Amino acid sequence: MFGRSRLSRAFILTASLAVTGCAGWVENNLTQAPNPWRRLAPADLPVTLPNSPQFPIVAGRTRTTGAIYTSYMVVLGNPTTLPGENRLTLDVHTLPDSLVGALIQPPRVFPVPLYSTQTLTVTLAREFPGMTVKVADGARRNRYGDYDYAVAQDAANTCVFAWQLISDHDRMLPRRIEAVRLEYRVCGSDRNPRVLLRSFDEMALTLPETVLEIDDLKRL
Amino acid sequence: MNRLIRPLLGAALIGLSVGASTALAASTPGGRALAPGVKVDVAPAPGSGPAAAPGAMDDSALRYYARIGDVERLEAEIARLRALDPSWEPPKDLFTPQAATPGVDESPFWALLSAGKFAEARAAIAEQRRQSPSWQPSAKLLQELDVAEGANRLRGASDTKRWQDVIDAAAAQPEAVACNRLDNAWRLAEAYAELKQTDRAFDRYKTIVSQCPKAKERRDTIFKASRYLSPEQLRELTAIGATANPAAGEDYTTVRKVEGELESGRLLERLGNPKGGALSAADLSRVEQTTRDKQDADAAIALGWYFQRQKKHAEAQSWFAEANGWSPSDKAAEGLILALAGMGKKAEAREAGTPWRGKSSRVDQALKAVADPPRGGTGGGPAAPQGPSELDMALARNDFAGCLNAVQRMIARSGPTAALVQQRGWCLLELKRPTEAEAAFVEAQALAAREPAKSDKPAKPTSRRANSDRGLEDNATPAQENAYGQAVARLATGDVAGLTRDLPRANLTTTQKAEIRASLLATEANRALEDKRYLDALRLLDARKELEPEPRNLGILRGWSLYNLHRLDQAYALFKSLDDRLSTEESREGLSTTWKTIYHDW
Amino acid sequence: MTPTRRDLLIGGTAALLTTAAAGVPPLWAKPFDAAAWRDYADRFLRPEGRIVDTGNKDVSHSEGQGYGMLLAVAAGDRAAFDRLWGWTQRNLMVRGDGLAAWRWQPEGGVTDRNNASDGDILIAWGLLRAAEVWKVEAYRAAAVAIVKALAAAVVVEQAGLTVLLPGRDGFRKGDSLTLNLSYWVFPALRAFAALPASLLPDPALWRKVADSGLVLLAKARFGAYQLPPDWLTLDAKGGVTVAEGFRKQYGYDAVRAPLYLALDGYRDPYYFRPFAMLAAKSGGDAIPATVSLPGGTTTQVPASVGMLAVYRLACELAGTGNSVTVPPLAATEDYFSTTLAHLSALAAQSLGIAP
Repeated sequence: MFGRSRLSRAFILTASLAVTGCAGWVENNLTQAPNPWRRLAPADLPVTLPNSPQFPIVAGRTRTTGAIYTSYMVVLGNPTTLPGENRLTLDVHTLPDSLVGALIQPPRVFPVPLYSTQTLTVTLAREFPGMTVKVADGARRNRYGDYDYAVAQDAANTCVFAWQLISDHDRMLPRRIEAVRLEYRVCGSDRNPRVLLRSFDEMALTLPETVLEIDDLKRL
Repeated sequence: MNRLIRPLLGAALIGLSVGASTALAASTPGGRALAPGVKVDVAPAPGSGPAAAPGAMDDSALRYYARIGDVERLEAEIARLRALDPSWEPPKDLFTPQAATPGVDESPFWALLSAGKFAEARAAIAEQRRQSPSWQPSAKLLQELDVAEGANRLRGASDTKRWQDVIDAAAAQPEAVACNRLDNAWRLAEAYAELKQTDRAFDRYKTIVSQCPKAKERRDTIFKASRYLSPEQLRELTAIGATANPAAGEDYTTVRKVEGELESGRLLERLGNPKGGALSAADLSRVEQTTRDKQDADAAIALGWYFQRQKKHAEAQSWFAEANGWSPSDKAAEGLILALAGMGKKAEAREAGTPWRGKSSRVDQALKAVADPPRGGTGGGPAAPQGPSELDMALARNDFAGCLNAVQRMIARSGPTAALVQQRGWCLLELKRPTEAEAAFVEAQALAAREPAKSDKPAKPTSRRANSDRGLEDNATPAQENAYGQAVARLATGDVAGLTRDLPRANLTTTQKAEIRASLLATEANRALEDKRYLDALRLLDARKELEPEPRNLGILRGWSLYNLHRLDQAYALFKSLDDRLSTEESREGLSTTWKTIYHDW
Repeated sequence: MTPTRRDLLIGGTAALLTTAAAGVPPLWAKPFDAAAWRDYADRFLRPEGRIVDTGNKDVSHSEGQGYGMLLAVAAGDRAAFDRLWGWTQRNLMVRGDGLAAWRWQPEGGVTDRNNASDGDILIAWGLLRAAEVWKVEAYRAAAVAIVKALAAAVVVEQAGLTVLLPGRDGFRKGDSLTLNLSYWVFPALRAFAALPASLLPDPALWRKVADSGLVLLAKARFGAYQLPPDWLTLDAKGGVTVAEGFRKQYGYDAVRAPLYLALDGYRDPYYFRPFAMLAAKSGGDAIPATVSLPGGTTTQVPASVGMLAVYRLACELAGTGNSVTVPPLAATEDYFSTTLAHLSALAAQSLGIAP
């Protein structure tokens, strides 16, 4: 198509919904404000982490935003004296289970793309004040595909910040899940960032429906 | 938060239906049916139409204000017309009901305009012009609409951070950023600054401080600009503001003072930051001078800690003493004790703490550090006459990483104690690691249960929460202190629901419980506001007020709740009283937004 | 309704049209007449009754069918009209809710069943015109059915405005709506509002839609020329921004806004000034086909002849004193450009600013 670009994406995205009999304005009863965090026993978290004496699970929390977002936070031990908590967060974006929900979805709790240069700079400055920060040139890979990360250092400590979006709903994600966003922030005294990333590299998601791993796909 | 909530009201208040234009069209005498085949009139170009006779003034706005009884605007309009033609006199019949003039009655458009419904006014005018092609709206109506619409567009863009749109709106309607719309002029400068076009931002600020006559406006502008401009630019701005285009009766000395105030503010901020580094001798003497001039006790305490960190105990002592002299406080006393102790004057240090002994945890802690440093550092014997411990030094410096190190070393040497682990909890909280802090308090509680004796008796606090504003408090048992620490940590992790559930059963003193309850209510009130449950927000704030006086930020929150409930008079009175006490950006925004809403001055 | 010159022209009789052919002023595109229609039909109307979008891989869509039906009525070509309407019913009205699927491709037919509200509106308006001109009640009944289906599916209230969703599905994001102001075919909305209450439960609804369109056109002004975007977002509070997820520009869609206003007899310069300003700022150079918003970056692609015809109309009505030269339609002029040129001619004739 040259020149005229019209009636584009929105049509194609929604054409398959085949909604019938539901016309006019539907009142938006979804609130976008997240509900308060609730505690969650580590055993009930939808993620399994390798045993790590340096970064044990201190506590788990969960909260929902509207009807389709559930977030989990795993706070990990922090052997340094730096400010800020070590943690792994998961945001699970499920597909609405009603037609009304399909028409009216609250805005995403995380942006896509996850970071721009600008927002990443702001985030890293907030997470690691006063440290030297470098965004890794190449991505790394865990069980769920490639992820990006940054490393922050000062004289005594090293920190890593990794982020990942699982959005391959054709192959990896179950039908009901639209996307999973992961974020991992850990500070330690080891100078080698790979050691700090180990938990993120080896974690396994245990959501109610199975998320397939990259290796599963290769075997298929 | 406020930005999000504010426009809501706009939508809610303005309930006027868009259908106004049809009703209007039906009622006007100007519309006429066209015979088949008859060519309809062609709209003349603007300006070529039935213009007012030479010398005659366009008094349509005047008559409209008279009819709705808006005396303030009526007078402003009379003044404006007089300025255009000094010989002009307002019509004698302004307040007598006018016979329906032939042609189109403009008042529905004016009504939409003054209700802030500019787009609706445009739609109604377009519909009218469609029906009466020979009619033209008065120049005054169009001009007012142009400016109000431009100003509105600019504000909308600025509120949603669409900076380029702000600039475009101002370019399309320069009158929207004139001195009588100072807020918009600031928003335009801010838009340039946000787009990193600092030179243009600087130009805008220069225009404001040279063109707008009021000293207060110039002064406020420089404060606004200080967020974006370099010290050199601010200096230039101040010089311009203090001299350019002086208006009779205005005193610009307050403008000149701004620079000094800004500079001291910046220096004090650096002073208070442990990582801020040392100040130059010139900067230091500047801060010392303004601190003395204004007898500013908080600044004096900041200076005291600055010197204390550098181990210049004598200078520190003199500033803490100054602070205590200007305005006695346990904070000043705490500094005084530690500074005197640093100088080796233990007796004087104890003396300085006397008025606060047993009444202030921070003073008690400081006294403890002087007389009875925690064991562990020296093998556990009774207090030897020696300087403050590594831990106390770290706490005195507000160095919480140092606190963790010290606690860890002490635990490594002589095992964990409830007091040490609890101290670790307080320091973790300061480092924004509340989850680990909560775990530390739980661990401390378990340790305390196993430690002999003192566990259930009211005791002096066994560890120290830095930066606490709890000056005076009842004596809590170690168990209560631990429970309190856990509660504070849970608040910080956002575990509001769980804490609310557990609070009634928690082992806390009355004071502690009230403090936690008050914080929970404040958090809930905030959520209620974000959920647009304004009555709930007020209910929660009222309940909180029973426990503690309302702090400023919650006062602002209360103001926005009232505003969104359309209780504009109350909102205005509240913002006004907050602003009178201390004028901040929040209080000013509340005040001006409410004012503008009440008077439709958008 | 008192017939006006506009009614006669747009309603159209072949007799009137043919008399208007002589003495064309050089700056205007040729008036729309029987010859123009024959040429249009030769180039874009396939024998089976579909209008081909030659700029877009020869697809057909509901909008094109609507334009074709309107022009056929204006030219008094009932046979062509019936072929157009028949093909539309057979191939596009396959959704079951009375609205047309928006696009039909030579390979594959209807692959996306969503509707495009402007297509439905144009088709219904064409049917209403045909019912008046040829006095056929069946056309009116078909039009009313489409208007009712539109009211049920795409007319919604937001922030005190009554707005048209661009299609039934997919234009709500959270509590915001994605809208396209070029879907407000103002003269059609007026025709819907004029339907008797015996046929339509709430004709006044369409007056509200039209009024809201005027309100939105006053709100949706971006960039240095204060132009409306092709796609905009209307939030729950009535705020208007350039829509995310679409090209952030003014262009091939929004250029129709002044055309439809003019076709409906609006002449308030305020509504035409942004377009006239764009034309004026382009000076002697070609007017760009699109302008990014709010940045103002323009494409290398110049406005087509049909778009220039709209700009000429806008300049005339804005009273900005500038003018736009409209070259004659090229032999290869595409469907969209040709259609805009003819509709602009109709608007200019009906407003009395062109013969």
